[in-house]
Amino acid sequence: MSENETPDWGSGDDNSRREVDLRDREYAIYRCVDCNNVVLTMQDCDGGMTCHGETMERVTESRLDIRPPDVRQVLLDAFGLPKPGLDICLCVIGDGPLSPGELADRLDYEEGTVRMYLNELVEFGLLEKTQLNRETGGYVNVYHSIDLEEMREETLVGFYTWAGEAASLIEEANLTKADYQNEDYDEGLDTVFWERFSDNKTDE
Amino acid sequence: MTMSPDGILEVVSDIYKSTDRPVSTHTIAEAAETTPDRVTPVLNTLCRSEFVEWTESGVRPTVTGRQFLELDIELENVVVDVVDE
Repeated sequence: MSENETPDWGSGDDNSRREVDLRDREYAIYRCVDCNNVVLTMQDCDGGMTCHGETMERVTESRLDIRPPDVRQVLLDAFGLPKPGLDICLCVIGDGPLSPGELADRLDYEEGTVRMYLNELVEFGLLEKTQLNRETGGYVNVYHSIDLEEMREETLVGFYTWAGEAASLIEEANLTKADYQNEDYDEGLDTVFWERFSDNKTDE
Repeated sequence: MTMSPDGILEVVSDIYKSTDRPVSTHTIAEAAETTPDRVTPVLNTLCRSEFVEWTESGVRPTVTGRQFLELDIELENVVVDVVDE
């Protein structure tokens, strides 16, 4: 399958869980035959992956069905970037020079919304802002996209960081269940489980 | 040849630097190997962004336009927000 093709998730509603055939995805998951390490890679690693010197085994099926990710939800969950932010980011590439007003007309957003997201995208790191002088006083803000290759890598690293944090939560959830079996708790597992995660939230 | 807004801005800036006079659309079109009709809309876009200014005898690059050229980024990939003091 080429990079631009939509993965074939089979039949069913968009939100329904379904099985994924890991053999024909553009990514690959490998597990260590020796320890519990499981890794995700977006490239076809010639010769496979290794963990402490041992060749890792490619995972070809997942016993758990999953819901197909929606790009809008992924960007919102991982980066807090809602659709207007993404729309604006996409319009900054290749359609300029545009004013915030022209961008707002094109996307059917309020000009104030466009300005807000332009600054948010600068803070987030997908756009850069440069202030130029104006002959008649005041200044001109130039918003420009970061290098596309840099954007590709940064968004992937950012997403992996988010996925790593999510994976840590899943690991902790599994450890909580294991702890519960080994310890003598008065409360039920559900109470212990949610108390553990509510503690985590308070720590933040 | 040089019909991108960046190319036109560069042409205006180079000719202005060597002549110290506003540059006519005819001269710009000649340097960019195109026609004045095709150059004018690009110049209007550059003017809205305050990178060039129309005068009676043509256009001249502004301080803003010259500063932009030093950034080494493409005008197609920018949003320009003119802010009054």
